[in-house]
Amino acid sequence: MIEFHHAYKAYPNGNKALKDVSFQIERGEFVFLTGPSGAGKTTLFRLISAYDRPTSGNVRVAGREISLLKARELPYFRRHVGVVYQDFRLLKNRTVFENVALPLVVKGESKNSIEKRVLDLLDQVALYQKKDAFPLEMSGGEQQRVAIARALIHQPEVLIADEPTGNLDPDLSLEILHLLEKANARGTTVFVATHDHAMVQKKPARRIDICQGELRSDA
Amino acid sequence: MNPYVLSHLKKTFSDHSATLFATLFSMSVVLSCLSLILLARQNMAAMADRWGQDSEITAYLDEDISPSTRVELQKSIGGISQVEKAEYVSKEESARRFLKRMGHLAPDFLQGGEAQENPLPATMDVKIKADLSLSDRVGTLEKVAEKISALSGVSEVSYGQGWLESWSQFLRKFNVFTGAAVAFVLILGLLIIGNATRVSMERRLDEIQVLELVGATASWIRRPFLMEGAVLGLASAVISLVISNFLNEAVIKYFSGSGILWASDAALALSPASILLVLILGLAFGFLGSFLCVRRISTGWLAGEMDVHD
Repeated sequence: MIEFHHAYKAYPNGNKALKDVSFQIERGEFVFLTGPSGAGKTTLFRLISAYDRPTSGNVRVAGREISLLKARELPYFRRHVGVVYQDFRLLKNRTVFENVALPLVVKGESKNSIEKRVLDLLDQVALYQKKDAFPLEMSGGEQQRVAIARALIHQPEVLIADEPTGNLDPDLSLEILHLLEKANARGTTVFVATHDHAMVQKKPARRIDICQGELRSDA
Repeated sequence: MNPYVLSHLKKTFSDHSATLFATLFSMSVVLSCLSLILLARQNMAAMADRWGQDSEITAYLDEDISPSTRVELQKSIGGISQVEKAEYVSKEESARRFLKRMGHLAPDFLQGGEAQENPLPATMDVKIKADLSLSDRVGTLEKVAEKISALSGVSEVSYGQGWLESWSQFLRKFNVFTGAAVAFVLILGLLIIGNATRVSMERRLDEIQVLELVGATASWIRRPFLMEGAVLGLASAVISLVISNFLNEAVIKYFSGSGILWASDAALALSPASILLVLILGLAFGFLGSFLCVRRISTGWLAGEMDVHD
């Protein structure tokens, strides 16, 4: 489902964010990506979600080679990938319902289908009562749950979460982990970047560790 | 309409009303100038047509023209295809008309009884068919006058060629000016709408990034901005029509009692075609102004330009 083959990424400022990274993640796996700040976790996720291209090497996600994607193909590719950010990236002037519905709206789904699916999912993440609230009226944990719901609403093949518990207390972190496990149980490949050791210890799963842009361990 | 586009428009109206009204005001002023230019052009053309329709050719007849030649001449002139009517005016009738119109300026004219000779010649007043535009009319008058002057019994032909040609030339120049003004006004409109779209876009950069992240296509992201530009352009066009109509009526009211013929008599309202033109131009240039701005956004990699935190 996700395949890195001797992938390199260097930024114009000379920063070599990834160096010769190779690994493979199968469909339906739950994998943690760990490493200190600046290790290259976000860069790796940007490549998976086609927000950037590798400088050299190959990155294949859901059967597509990222560096060969044309601009007009990007939106359709991104519909196969759900992304959760540490800073949530929610639209502040849109309600919870509108934020979660966004991936379906851009796909042109019918109003009835959108309403049904969004309300169902909001119910699953315990945010049904907050559907008309705006993100800034909610706690950090609630906002992260909205971000996860938005990433899952279009049932992506791959869900990547970049430090999803970075700003949350341990109880809320556990709650978020449960949500990710639920998505994984439904068949979604889940790849979570974190340096929350408690989270990694609570969930027995494969762990890919990178440091200074290089793969340190994969177990 | 796509609910997202609708909600985008609603948010623009509610959250960015100051920018919106500033744009609406500037664009309305610009389009009002366009309406007023079109109005002025239309009125001048209407005025010229009215004056042109009254224009006639006067053929001055030879002093010694015989009645039979005169009748023949009248028939020949009446037979010219562009001529509507040819009327004979005798020397006496010419004098009577002169006295009626200008007698107060020449109180001694023909007051010496039979001994004083009538210096005015007999004429043939020729009326041209009315369904000709001013530019066609000038050419037609010229041709008909040429034909008449070649006929026997005619000593001289006059048709007010001086002012007609000058007016026609002025109208041609004014048409060029109108074209240039319309182009200038519309470029200004493009800049205004383009600027408003740029501001709106910059305010929504985060939103555009998120839309890219969730798989929105470039055209989907651009659509609300294009709609915003088109709505702004159309609304400005409507406001400009109201403003120009108000100004126009004020001008008519001011001049109607002053005896200035053209202001009180000419058709002074914008024609339906001009109204439609202003509306279409407002809509099209609103759309185009936005398009020129948004075509540069959302290449699909805007999200990739976000800061790298890791």
